[in-house]
Amino acid sequence: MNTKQRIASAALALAITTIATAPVYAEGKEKCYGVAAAGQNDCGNLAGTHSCAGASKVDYDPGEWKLVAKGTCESIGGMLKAEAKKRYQESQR
Amino acid sequence: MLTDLERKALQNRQRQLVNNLFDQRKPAANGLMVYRNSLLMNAARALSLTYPVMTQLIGEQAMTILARELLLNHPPHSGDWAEWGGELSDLVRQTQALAEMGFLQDVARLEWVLHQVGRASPAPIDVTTLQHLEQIPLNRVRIHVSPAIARISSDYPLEAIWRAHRHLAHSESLDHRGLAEAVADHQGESHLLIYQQSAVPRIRPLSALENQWFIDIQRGLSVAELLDRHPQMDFAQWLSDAIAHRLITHLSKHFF
Repeated sequence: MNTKQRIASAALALAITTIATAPVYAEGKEKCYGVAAAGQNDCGNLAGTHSCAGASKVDYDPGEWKLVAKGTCESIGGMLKAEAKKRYQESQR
Repeated sequence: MLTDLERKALQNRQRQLVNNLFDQRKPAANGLMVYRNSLLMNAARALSLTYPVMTQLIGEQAMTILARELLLNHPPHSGDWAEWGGELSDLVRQTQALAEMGFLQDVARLEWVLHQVGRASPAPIDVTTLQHLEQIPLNRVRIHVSPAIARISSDYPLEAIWRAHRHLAHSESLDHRGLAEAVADHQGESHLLIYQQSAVPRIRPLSALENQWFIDIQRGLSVAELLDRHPQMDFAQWLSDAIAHRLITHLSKHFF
């Protein structure tokens, strides 16, 4: 593989990551809480303790979310924001 | 029911009325003057909405005079005032009192582009075509820039001038010092990219390298040619950013 092809392949790999995480591609998706493995969350959590993708510390934390296709969240064992927020607030009491 | 002849006569009279309204040089009866003034005020208001920074820079009275000139020479082609006024930059260049302040033309150009980009529908990206980067020889792959973005180059620190004045309408004060520093520090050409994010037009500066990269893409250079010509460009980072901000629409494969 020549240098230019290596550059192009690296660009493609980064592009795919961008597509997976950029908010602009989130149309038709929804935030699903409690389904992210540690370090695989998207953006900020309910507790407000971090705002970065991949910063969650435990698996399936109900405060962490991932973008999933609309309508599929509950079927994979997750919660939509209202439910997740309610549970999070209860757990803080 | 109107006959064909009557309909034609009515159409002619309506056309004459519109011509008389728009051609503010012709003498007019009092009744017509009311309509003319109303038209001029609407036009001036529309122009100020499209060009808020120009209005801050030259004042509402001057904008009304320019609106009158624009009405004469470039009457609107649709019922939507927002689509009217794109020739303001040319008019500023042709107006002796304003032409000396060369930056005004560029501010007008920037505001029109911001207006256009803000109203454009964001072009979707065909992400499947990104696979061409691995599946097609790079000398046959081209990048296509979104029609909903624009670039502007200026001899002036255009972004600093625009940013310094855009909030003045909300009674913020002009940052004289910041603006003076930006003008003093400015050298050569400045390049700006105008794109849309969350339905709002955004501005960001482009380095000379990035600007030339865009020019070469729009000239139709292949990815292989682009990488040869711009070895210092971080292609992966640029492509990622271009996707995140919808600066491109797709990649295409072409044949020799």
